[in-house]
Amino acid sequence: MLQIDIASAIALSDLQKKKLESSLQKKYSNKELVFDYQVKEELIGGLSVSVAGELHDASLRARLNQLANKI
Amino acid sequence: MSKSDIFANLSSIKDSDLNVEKVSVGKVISYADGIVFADELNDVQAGELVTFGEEGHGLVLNLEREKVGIIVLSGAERIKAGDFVYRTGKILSINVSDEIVGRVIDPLGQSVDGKSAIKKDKEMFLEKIAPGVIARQAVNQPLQTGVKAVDALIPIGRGQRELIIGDRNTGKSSIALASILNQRGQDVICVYVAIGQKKSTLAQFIQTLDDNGALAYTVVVSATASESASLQFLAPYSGQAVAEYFLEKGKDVLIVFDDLSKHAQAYREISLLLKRPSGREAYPGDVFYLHSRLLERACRLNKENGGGSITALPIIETQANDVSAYIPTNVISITDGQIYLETDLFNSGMRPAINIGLSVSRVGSAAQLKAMKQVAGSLKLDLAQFRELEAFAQFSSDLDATTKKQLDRGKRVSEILKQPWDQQMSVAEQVLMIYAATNGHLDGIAVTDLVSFETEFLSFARSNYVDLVKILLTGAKIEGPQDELLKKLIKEFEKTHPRFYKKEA
Repeated sequence: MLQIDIASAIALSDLQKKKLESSLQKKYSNKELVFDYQVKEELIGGLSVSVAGELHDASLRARLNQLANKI
Repeated sequence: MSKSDIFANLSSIKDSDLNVEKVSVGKVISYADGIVFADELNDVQAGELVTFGEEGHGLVLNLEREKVGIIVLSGAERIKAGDFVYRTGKILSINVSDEIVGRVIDPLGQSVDGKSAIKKDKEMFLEKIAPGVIARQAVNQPLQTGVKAVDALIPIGRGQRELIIGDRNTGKSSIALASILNQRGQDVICVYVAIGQKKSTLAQFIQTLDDNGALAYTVVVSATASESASLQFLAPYSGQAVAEYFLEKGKDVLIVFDDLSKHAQAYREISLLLKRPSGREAYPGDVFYLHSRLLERACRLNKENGGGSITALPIIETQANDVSAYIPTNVISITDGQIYLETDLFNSGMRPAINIGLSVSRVGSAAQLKAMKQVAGSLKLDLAQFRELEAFAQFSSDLDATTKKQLDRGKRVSEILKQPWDQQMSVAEQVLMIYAATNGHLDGIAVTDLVSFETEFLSFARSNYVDLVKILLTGAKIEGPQDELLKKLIKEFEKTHPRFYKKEA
């Protein structure tokens, strides 16, 4: 069993959730996945997905932070 | 920011490649008493800085199979169970620049004195391996504390670690404070680390520094009793990091840790909460290493490495004069000597309340100024004889003449070692007084008159024997002509100030 935490700035629609889940299932094909959805306004936009101690942060906030670090 | 900078930034924004970052995170399992346990974080390193979101910071101390133990440094109030903990890949460090002098900072390098932020020049690591033997040289330069008893009998050299130990209220901090005040105009940077002290005490301390113009060359690292144990634990290391910044510039630094008993207690608190096994007095197993790695960083570097030095004055508070407790014995064995203060002496009016017999300086005598060494030799002898005979002092009627003389000398010698904490003395003044005492010139003066004698004698010397005082200030060996001058000075003073000499006759 693999816990996957998904955070988004606004609540995802069922269709979006389904798409996300099926693409993640493809990536981790031999595992049983458990999804947990959260709404975090501070992300501003985009998604952040964390799987087993790894955070794939595709939120707008993370990119702004990246920019801020570069300047 | 200049125009060209803005354009450079804009184009760098345009060209920057913002991929989805893959970062290592963990989740907060529990948070209590300033300690976070987090799961995952598989690749985190011990001693690494982690963040809780964008606000909080923590330091990883424990790595276990199931979880990591993290001490929270900032932003504790926002932490919730389930929050992400992010790796930073960085080791704890503080930003230091020349601007830091005269400021009060917290252990994370942020100013807490309400003035502007401190500019960054260099990032200094809190934990650092001490300079190796190749980079060092022997302690060969004195650090004048301005306290007669210390400079004459327990001399401290630049790069030495001298412990100040004693019960509460025996004047430990006062000796440290006097040493800091005495560095004015000596091109020495002072760092004062306050660990677990009352804020009121610290505020008063800073005020005293400021009033005496000492804040201009002093950095205060403050982790008062209201700060968390983790900050108190880090304070001495950040003080040392500040000191090392100036060491690298070839400067001489004096660092005071006030006090390391509280530091050990803070570390004990952290260790117990992290569920590390406890040992004697419930201190963890590595409490010796805690202080040894800190004090090892005090050093005197050789010319090739800049020639700077860090002199450390750690302070330890004992309970009921018990120097054989765990932390005192540890720190005594790490340092190059100790200044031992006693309540009994303090209460009997001996201030500074230094127990000369139990205090030692293991390396400082090699660095002591020549003139001081010359006069201090007989001072030590006089005091030792006095201590031996003191018990007999009660039966003074039955004593033979030599014994009585030794007792009288001893009384006067210990009397002149008394000194108010806020009156530091220059080398010349110290040598003058000790010379007069050990050569028997004070034997004819009543013990009670010695305080006023000292003031008048020194001001007489300063105004009438300017050249002699100048030579003595250099600390050069007292030779024929100076010796003649000293004798002449004392004789002349005797003639002009007869009131001191009448009493005994």
